[in-house]
Amino acid sequence: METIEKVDTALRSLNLNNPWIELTFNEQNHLIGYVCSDSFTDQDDELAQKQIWAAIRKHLEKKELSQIIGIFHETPKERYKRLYGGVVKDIKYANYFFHDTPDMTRYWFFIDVWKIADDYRTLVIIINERTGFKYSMIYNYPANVISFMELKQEEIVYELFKSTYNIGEAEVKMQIMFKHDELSNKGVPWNENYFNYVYDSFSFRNASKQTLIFSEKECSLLDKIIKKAEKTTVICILKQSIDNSREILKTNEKI
Amino acid sequence: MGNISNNDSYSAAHSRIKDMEQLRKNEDSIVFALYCSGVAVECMLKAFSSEPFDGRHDLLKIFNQSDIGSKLSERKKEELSLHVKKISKFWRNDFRYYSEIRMKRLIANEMVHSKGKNINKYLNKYKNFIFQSSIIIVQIGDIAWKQSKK
Repeated sequence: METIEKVDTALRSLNLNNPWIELTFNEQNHLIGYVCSDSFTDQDDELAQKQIWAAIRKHLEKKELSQIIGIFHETPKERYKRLYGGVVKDIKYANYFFHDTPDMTRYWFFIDVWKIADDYRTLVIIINERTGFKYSMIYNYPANVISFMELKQEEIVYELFKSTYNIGEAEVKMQIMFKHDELSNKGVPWNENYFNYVYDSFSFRNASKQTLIFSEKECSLLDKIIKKAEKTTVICILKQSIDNSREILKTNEKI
Repeated sequence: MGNISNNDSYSAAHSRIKDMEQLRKNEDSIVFALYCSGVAVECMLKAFSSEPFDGRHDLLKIFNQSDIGSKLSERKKEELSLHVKKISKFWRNDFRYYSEIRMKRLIANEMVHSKGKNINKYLNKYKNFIFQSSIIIVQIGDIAWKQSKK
C-alpha cells in the first residue's frame, strides 16, 4: 500500500463525521494534507492533532512517517476560510436573498438585525427544499461588546448585518462546495463541473417581500424554524409569506 | 521575493519576533505586534523553502512549500503542525491595514459567532494564540535550522 493510501486509511480510522481528506506530495516529495470534518467543531486543536498523529503512527512504518510534514485538521468553516480567505464583502443592506443553483434548486437566505434593551441581536435563516437543508442562528451582541467595538449609533446595524451576511453566504457556499466535491469524486473534470462558479462568481439576488412565495416543503422547513423564533420584523413577514404561499398552493390545487 | 536568501529569511524571523516583543509592550501597538508575529512565522517557514514566493501570504501554503518538517522529529512535527494551525486560524496578512477599531470589531464578531461571552477573555486568548504560536514556531524553526546545518 502506498504511503498516501495508508495515511488516508489512518485518518478514516478516526471515525470522523463525513471526512474530506486532501493529501498531496510537495516539491520536496513530502506528504502534507488536510482532513476536514465537522467532528472538529468545538474540539481542542491540541487534541485533534494528537489523535491525527496517533492514528498515523499506528498505521505507518517509521520510514514512511518521516515523509509526512503535517496533516491539518479543519472544520468545514475553516476549510471555507482557507479556500476563500474569509474576505468580508461590502454589501447593500437587505433582509431577503436567494440563490438559484445550476441543478435547479433555490437557497433562501434571510437576515434580521434588531435591538433588545441595550443589546443587539442578529438572525440568519437558510433553507433549501431539495436537500432539506435548514440553518438558523441568533447572535447576541451585548451592550458591552457593542461598546468594545466602538461603533457609532448609525454604524451598528450595518456592521452587524455585514458580519451576519458573511456567515450566511459562507454556509450556502459550503453547501455548493459539497455538491462540487461530490461531482469531483464521481470523476467529473474541473472544467465540466457546473458548480465551479462557487469559487469565483457566486452571488445572491435580493428578493422583495412580495416575491417571497414558497413551495409546501419550503413552508414546512420555515415553519420548524419560525415556531421557536422571536417575533422580529423578518419573522413576521416570513409568517405572512408562508400563509400567502399556502393560499396560493391551495388555489392552484383547485385549478 | 527579490534576492532574499534562506539565511536572510531565518535572520528576519528572529528580528520580527524581537519587533513583536517590543511592540506588544505597548497596548497602542498591539495590531502591528500581531502582524509582526505572522511575518516572523512566514520568514521562518520561507527559510526552509526553495520555491519562489508567489506573493500570497498564506501561512498554511507557505508551510506546505517549506521543507522545515523534514528536519524534525515526529513529536516536533506534531507540535509545529499544531501551532501553524493555531496561528493560521487567527492571523491575517491584512492586519497591516487594520486600525485598532477594525481589529476590535473583527475580534468581537468572531467572539459572538463562536458564542463566546467574555470579550476581554476572548481578546486575550486571541492575542496569546498568535503571540505564543509565533514564538514556538520560531523556536522549532531554530531546531530545524541547526539540524539542517549538521
